[in-house]
Amino acid sequence: MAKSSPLLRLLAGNIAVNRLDAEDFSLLLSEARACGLLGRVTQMLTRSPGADLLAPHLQDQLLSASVYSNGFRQDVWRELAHIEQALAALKTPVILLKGASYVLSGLPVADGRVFSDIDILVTKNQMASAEAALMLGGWVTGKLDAYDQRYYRQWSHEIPPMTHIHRGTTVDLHHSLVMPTCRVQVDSSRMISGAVPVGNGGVWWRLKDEDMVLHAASHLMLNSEFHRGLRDLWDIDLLYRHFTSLSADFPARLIARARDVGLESTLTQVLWLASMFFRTPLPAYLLAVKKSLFLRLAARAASTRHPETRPRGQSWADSALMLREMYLRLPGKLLLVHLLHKMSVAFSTPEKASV
Amino acid sequence: MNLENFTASEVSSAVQGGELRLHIGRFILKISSVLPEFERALRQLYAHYPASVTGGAYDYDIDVSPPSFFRRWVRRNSSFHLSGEAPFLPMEVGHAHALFEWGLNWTLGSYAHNFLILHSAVVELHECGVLLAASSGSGKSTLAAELALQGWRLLSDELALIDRDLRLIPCARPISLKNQSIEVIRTRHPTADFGPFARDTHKGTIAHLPAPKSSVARNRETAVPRLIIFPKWTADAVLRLEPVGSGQAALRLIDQSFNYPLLGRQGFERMADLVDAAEAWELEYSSLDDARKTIEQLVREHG
Repeated sequence: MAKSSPLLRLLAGNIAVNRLDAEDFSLLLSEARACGLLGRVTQMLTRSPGADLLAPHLQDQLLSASVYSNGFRQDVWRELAHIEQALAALKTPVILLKGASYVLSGLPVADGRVFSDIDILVTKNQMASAEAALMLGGWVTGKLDAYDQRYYRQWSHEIPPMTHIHRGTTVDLHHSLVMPTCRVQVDSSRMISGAVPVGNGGVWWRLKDEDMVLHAASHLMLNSEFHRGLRDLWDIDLLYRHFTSLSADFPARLIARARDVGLESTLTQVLWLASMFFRTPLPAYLLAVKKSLFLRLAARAASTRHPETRPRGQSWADSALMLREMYLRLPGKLLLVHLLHKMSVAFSTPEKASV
Repeated sequence: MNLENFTASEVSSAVQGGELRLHIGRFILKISSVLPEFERALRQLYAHYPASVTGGAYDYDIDVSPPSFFRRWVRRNSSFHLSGEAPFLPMEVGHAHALFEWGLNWTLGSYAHNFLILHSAVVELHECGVLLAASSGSGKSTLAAELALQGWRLLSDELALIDRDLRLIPCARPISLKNQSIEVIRTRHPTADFGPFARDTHKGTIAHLPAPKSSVARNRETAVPRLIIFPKWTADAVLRLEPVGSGQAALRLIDQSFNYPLLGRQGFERMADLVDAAEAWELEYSSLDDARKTIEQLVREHG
C-alpha cells in the first residue's frame, strides 16, 4: 500500500513544513523531482518560515534547486531574445504560450517552473514565413518519417518541433491552440484575437488573463500528458488565485469566457481537479461537477508519481487517458488510419537494442 | 557504522526494503534493489562507507532494479531509477553496479548545482588539491588510480565539486577503469582488489577499483585547489610538461564542465578564482611512474 504523500499534504495545506520529519522531507523533495516540481516546491520551502533551520543537506538541496531555477530563467530570457531577433522581420504579433509567457509576463506562476520547449503561435497565413525565419535563425526540424510529417502538417495545430542547431533549444510553432480535428470544438481563433501585447512594442503578445487559464486547462484536459498533470494543475491554481486577487470578478469572467469559446465543462472539470489537490478557493457555482470516470482517472494520473506514494492503478489510468486522447484528437476515419499505421510500424520495427 | 559492519542479510533486507542509507562524503543515498548481484558489488565496493539499515533522511533515492517484473526472471536486466524515473536504457544484470556509478555521476551533475561541477579527477597530497582535468580516453582515471594506490588521497575520479568558498568537496568513490587500463593497474599493483568486471558494455570492459580506505575515512574533509593538470597519455611519448595560462585553463575547464553555464555569473567568478588560485599545467606522458614523479615535484615546488 502506498505511503501517505508529504507532497500532496503540503500542496493541500494539510501540513506545515516544520512538522515534517527528516525522512518525510527527503521523500517530499524526491516526489517533487518525480513530478517535475522540484523548482517550485523548493521556492515554496525557501520562503516558508523556519527554512533557515533545516538540516544542512536539505539547505544544499534548496540552494541547488534555486541555482537551477535562476539559471533556467536566464536561459529563457536569452532564448526569447534570440527568437525575437529571428522573427522581428515578420512584423507580425507572435503570441507566447504557457511557460515562456508566464516568465515574460512576470507572473508568480513562473517562479521555479521549468519547461523544455518554448511555445509560440502565429496566424495560419504567417506560418510559412515564421518557419522560414526560424530556419534562417538556426532552428531546424528533426528527421521525421513521411507519415509523422503529414500528421503534423495536415492534422495538427503545430508543426514538428524545431531545435536550434547550436544551442539545442526547442521551439514549438503553433497556428491554433488546440488540434483542429479535436472532438471538443474550441473557438481558438476567438482566443487568439483577444491576445494582448506584452511590454512595449516588441513582437511578443500573450493570451488575455481568462484565456491563459483556459489554454492551460485545454492543454491538460484534451491531451494525455497527465504525468505532468500536478504541475499543470498547480499552474491553473496559481493563475486563478493571482488573477482573482487582481480583480474579484475574475471567476465570473472566466466562466463566461469558457462558455463563449466552448470550454465550459473543460474548465469546471479542471478547476475541480485543481481544488482537489490545491484547495483552490472556488465559488460554489464552479464546483458543481459530475464526477465522471474520466475525472477519476485524471485525478489518479495527475497525482504524485513517486513509486512510494503514487496511487494504485496509476499506470492503468495513464493508458486509459492515452486512448481517450487519441479518441478526442482523431475523430472517425482518422483514428482508424492512425492506429493501423502505428500498429504496422510497431510490428515491422525490430525491438530497440539495449545499451 | 560502516557498510562492512552489517551482516549480508541485514544489508540485503535493508536494500530490498528501501531502508539502506549510504553516506558518500556529504551525500546521503537511499539505495534500493532486488538484484543480488548488485547488492554483492555494493557491499564490496562500498564496504568502508558509513551506512545505516534503518532508514532516515537522504538526498537522492536510487533504485537499481529490472524495468519490469518479468525481467527479474527472464532475460534479466536492470535500470537506474532516480526518484522513480529512469533516465537511461536498461543494461544487463551483471552491469548493474557500473550503471549505478554512471547514474550517480549523472545525478550529481544534474542536481548538485550548489557546486561548480567539472569533469575532472581530484586528488590531494600534502594538503595540496590537484585537479586532473581531461576528457574521457586521456588516461585521467588510470592516473588517479595510480596516485591513489601510491598513497595520495582520492577525492573523486570523475567529478570536481567546487563550493562557493572555492573548496574541493570530496566524494571518493570506486575508480572506474576501462579496457587496457585495468591490466595496467593490475600488473603494477597485483594486490589491488577490483569489483566485478562488467564486460561488453558500450564502453568496453569496466572494472572498479575501490577508493582507498584512508580516502573514504576523510570523505568529509574538503581540500584546497592548488594545481590543475591536463594529463594526456600517449604511447611512447617523451614526458612533456608545459605551463598553461590561466585564461586558457579556464576555457578548457569550462569546456569540460557540467553546469558552468547554469551558474551564470557565480560560475564565472568561481572559475576565475579557481584558475587564479591553482596553477595549470599540461602533462603528456607514456610512463605512469614519470607522470607521478613529475606531479609530486610540482606539488613540492608550486603547491
